Amino acid sequence: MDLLFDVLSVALIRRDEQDVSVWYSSAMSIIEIHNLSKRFGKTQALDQVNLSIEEHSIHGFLGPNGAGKTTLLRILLGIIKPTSGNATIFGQDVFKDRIEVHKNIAYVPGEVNLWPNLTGGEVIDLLLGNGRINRIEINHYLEVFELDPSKKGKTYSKGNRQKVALVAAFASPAELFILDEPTSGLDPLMEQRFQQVIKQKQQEGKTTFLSSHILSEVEQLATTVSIIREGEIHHTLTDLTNLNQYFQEEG
Amino acid sequence: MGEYLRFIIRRERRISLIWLLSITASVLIFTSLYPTLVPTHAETLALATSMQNPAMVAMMGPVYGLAQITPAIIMSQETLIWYLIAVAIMNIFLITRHTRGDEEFGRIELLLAKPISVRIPTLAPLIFAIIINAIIALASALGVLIINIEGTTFLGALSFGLAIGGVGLYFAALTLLFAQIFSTSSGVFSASFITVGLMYMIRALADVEQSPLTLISPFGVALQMEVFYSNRLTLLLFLLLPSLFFIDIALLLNSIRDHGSGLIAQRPGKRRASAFLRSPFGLAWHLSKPSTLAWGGGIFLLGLSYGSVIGDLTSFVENNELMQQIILSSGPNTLLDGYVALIFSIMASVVSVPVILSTLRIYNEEITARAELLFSRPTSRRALYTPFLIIAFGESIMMFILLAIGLALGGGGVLSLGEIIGYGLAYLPAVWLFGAVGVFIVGFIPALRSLIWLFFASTFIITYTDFITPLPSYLTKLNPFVFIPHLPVEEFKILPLLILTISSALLITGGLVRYENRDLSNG
Repeated sequence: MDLLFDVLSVALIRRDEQDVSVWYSSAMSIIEIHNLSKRFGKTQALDQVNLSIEEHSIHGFLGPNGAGKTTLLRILLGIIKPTSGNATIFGQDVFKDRIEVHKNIAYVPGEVNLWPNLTGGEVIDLLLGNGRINRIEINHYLEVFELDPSKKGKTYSKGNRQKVALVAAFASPAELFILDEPTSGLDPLMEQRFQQVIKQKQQEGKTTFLSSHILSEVEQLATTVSIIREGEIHHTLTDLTNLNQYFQEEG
Repeated sequence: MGEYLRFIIRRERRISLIWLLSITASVLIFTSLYPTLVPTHAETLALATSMQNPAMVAMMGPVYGLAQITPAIIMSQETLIWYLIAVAIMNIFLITRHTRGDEEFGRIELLLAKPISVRIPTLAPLIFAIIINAIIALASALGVLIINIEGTTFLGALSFGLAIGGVGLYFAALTLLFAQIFSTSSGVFSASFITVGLMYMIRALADVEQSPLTLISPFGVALQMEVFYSNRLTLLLFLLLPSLFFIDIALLLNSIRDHGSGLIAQRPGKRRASAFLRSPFGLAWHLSKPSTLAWGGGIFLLGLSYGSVIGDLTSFVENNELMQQIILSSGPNTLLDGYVALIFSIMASVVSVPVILSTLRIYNEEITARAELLFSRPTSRRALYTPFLIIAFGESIMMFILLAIGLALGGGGVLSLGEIIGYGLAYLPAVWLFGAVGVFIVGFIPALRSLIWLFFASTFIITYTDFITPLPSYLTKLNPFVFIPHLPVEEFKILPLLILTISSALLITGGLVRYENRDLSNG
């Protein structure tokens, strides 16, 4: 363990030293998390989390179930308040200024629940909200994910419910996509399309914060990775060549 | 076949048992109430006579056997229709669950992969329905025999049970047919429930007109059996023959249609949200609509039936000491005024229920894991919640208006609509207080939301215990309704209404502020 950390730290430091000028001039962080803690009664769900995510990046957020991934995402969405510390998105407080923040983010939960009697198309419009509905974008992503929007929520499979949330997210004008295990219900072909969309969004200058437990997906997609364990961020990696090694040694 | 039937019995052991027990318990309880409700022959006759007005006939069926009236006859005349409706609903759920429901979930596909006849998944639920309806028929017949109120006969009890079982079978067969025609379980449900409503209406209209067309409806057939009077068991053929016909067609359709499809293809839904759905009210109304419409309709019908009694009020009350005590407790007033005041004081509690439901509704969104989707949009929680509260507010007013219209229509012009709407609206501040407690709970202690029903039930119990034995005033003051002037028998006072309204405003403001700032619940 210790040895591994040394190796990783050296790798990180070396990268910092190498292109320190590029690093600080180009990097503008979109998500800033400082000493963030969250307690639920006696459970310490998050403990002094620090994290900073740059603009235009695809940040993979890895961790086992119960590590605090969802708690951190819920804090970022302004659904729950941190016990201490703070988090900002676009420089604005995620809880106090959440309405402003939400104008520029789109979220896809891991387990999408829909209203049983609304069709997929209706839910997409509802989630986008008045003034943000762009038919061209919606139709484009309906085609990409091969989704029939005329079916009722209760008749969709898990994968199709997830597609509804993905179409609504990608068709929105958001600058930041927060995705919680977004491919858990998708078949391999759709997973591939999903990855293409994420990469394309990055080229358009957008940022993605993606939680996952699938190492290979994060490896293929992410430009930076952080690993959460028992409420603490164990490491943030910018050099992903060590990722496999990290997991192998962690077992 | 036997194996699959055992499997169905296993899956049904809870839900069908609950239906069976509820229906049997209702038969036992309601039948045993009649000796106290109509202790003498005069009272039995008075009640039966009052049931003869058209609104009552439309609701519960024709009155029969007046010349030889017994408590058993009046019991069957007043209660049988409700058991018939209950058993119809039970069978619709039962058959849909095991036919189209299972087909939708792909369970039947799993079954058909085994070496069994393709008819078994259709036949086995029907056989189970026949068994459970027979048990219910037997249990209801035994139930009335055990309670044995005056006028109970063996043949009557048998007719009573068979009427219930026969209507059950009719709707099981009909649902089986619909399950072949419609390709989704919601389609089967809609068609079946629309048929229940239609059949009830045909019977109501025909019974008011005293037309034999009532035999078109299974409900009409059962009521025409004149249980505990002429016990016309041959009428059961009017239930059995259509049932056999439905089953025959269902099996025929089942053999020619493809698995997973119906005769009527599923209609595609809307590809886009309407402008209304996209408005702030869209989602709130979509979620509230079923409850609002059902409660509105129910309260209107209650108003209609309360109103229809007005004509026979004198004879009804003269024969009932408890009613006299309650109606005239407020002092020297006309009987009609006392009655109207009583109806509004009871119905104000009933109106509170849909209002409370509407104020709690947003919490469902929080706990069904739709929260993240809904609350990550650029809308404040308050903006999301407010439409639900406006709907609750609208409901509080609309429900009283519907009640008043029902009363005025049922009363046949005795009551002035404008005046009685006014009596009802005086109760609004107390209804709002319940709604405001709902908002407060959503803001502060949503996990303990069932407390509001405890509060609601206790005020209800306190009020009605107080009618019979006066309770200490600190207890009665728990009930917001005691502060409302009971129009028209009491004078109008503005102060208590103002105090209630201000309290509500404070509770709502507190609840909303807290709601904006608290952690949302974990799904």
